[in-house]
Amino acid sequence: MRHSKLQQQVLVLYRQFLRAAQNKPGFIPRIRDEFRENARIKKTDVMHIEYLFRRGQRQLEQLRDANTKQLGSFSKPKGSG
Amino acid sequence: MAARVLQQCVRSFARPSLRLCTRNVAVRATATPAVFIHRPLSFAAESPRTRLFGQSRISVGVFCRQYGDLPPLTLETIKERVMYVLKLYDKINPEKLQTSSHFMKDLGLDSLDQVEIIMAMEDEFGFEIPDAEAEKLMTPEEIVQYIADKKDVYE
Repeated sequence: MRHSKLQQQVLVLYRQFLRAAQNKPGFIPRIRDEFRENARIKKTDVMHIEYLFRRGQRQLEQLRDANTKQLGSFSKPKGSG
Repeated sequence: MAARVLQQCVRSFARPSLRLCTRNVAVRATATPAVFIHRPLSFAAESPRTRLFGQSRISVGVFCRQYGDLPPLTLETIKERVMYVLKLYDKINPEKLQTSSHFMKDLGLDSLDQVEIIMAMEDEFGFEIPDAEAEKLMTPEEIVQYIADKKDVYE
């Protein structure tokens, strides 16, 4: 299965994210969803992919920072409001 | 019986061998704790005396260290562990899983899932798999072969 250079970089980034998030609760589902969602982008749309890749690298640095402890989110309950 | 075990322990200690009391570890069900050895050669002469002591601890002088270690790896155990980890993965249907099932073609996973699977294998077996080699592992059989290769398991 031949991956292009960019694909390989994305996979390496994914692995690094999962490793960095192992001890911090709440990140893993978000990471997985984000990568899964963006996997739908066409291979030819290199600008978008590279933009997301750079963004991911910056987010990885934030994640690795010792001050980041966990991630939470609010969601609107169904049927209200 | 404990005394006989102690004797074996002493003899294997006196011999300059690396397998320290491995027989003992299997024989003793409960851990009779360490007994301290002063001088191996002189102790061999004392061994008839230890027969009398039997269960006593501090008065006898043989130190037998019991090293804890993981169970030995064989191809069978590696395969079982790999399949077990794969069955726990939520995106894989356990019924359809075989050792020869290809992650992408048979099980319908994609490369992100394959990265997660390889990471789970790294955690299970406790060693790093570099990316270049990780992306080539596409079936459970290949993973087993790779691990056996890295861990020097032959059959």
